[in-house]
Amino acid sequence: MAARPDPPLSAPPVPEDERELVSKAQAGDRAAFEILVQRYERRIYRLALRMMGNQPDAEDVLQETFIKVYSKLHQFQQQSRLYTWIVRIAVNQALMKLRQRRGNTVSLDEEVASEEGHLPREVADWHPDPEQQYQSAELADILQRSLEALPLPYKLVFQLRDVEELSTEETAEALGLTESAVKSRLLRARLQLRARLGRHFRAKGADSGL
Amino acid sequence: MGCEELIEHLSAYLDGDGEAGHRLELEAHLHSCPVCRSLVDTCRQTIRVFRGQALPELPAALHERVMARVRRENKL
Repeated sequence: MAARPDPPLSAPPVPEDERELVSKAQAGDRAAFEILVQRYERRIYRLALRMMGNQPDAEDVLQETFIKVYSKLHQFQQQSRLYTWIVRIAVNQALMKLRQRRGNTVSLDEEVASEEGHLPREVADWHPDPEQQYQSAELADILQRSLEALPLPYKLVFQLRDVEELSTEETAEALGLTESAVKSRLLRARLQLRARLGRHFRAKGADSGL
Repeated sequence: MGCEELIEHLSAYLDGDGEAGHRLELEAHLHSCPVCRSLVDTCRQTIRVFRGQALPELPAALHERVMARVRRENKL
């Protein structure tokens, strides 16, 4: 086995009691269902905020998502993670809302023209700890604006793979894309975000150009 | 192994995927190429800084509103 300089980015484990809670909720146990809502509502709210870009729409998406989760829970077979299944419902709810807002032009399947200027041509190390470089609200704003600037397919793949920590397979399933499409969008998203964040996080004196 | 191949396999490298022998080739390139080393480091920081953000608090009473609508619409 080759030595690795850094640990790989891995998905968080599924809580041990989840299978039992889902079975109870499927049998009509309200308390078990509410525990599952509490477990995932803030993550789904974050996803909805990122997709919708405003609080009222994100709140609507959250409500519609859990109404649908409850009404369809009997169909959930426990062969995938519950969280992945909820994410898929939330993405569909958000896409429906975006299509209502923008007309039927929102698609995850379209190819997006690549953006020039995101490929590295210079050595430019970043401040070792951007969290110390900015106040937390300012940093959150930089991240939000950087993500907002990405085309929706890239933004969503980055959010699911790198923030929500779904696997490539789970992301493909949630978005109705092939794994190969997820991989190519993720690479472009990471490179574009890195280029945008570099404008804020570049360490002073590190720009040495080759 | 050159910079283009490193970029092509960048995501798999960051995610710890790929065959061990190929990773060694990528690491050999990184050892000799400061541009790609900087690219890998800053992509890792990009992911880390997003992942390190705290989850947003739910707006007041949103949880209760969600549960009330679920109850009402599904007659729990």
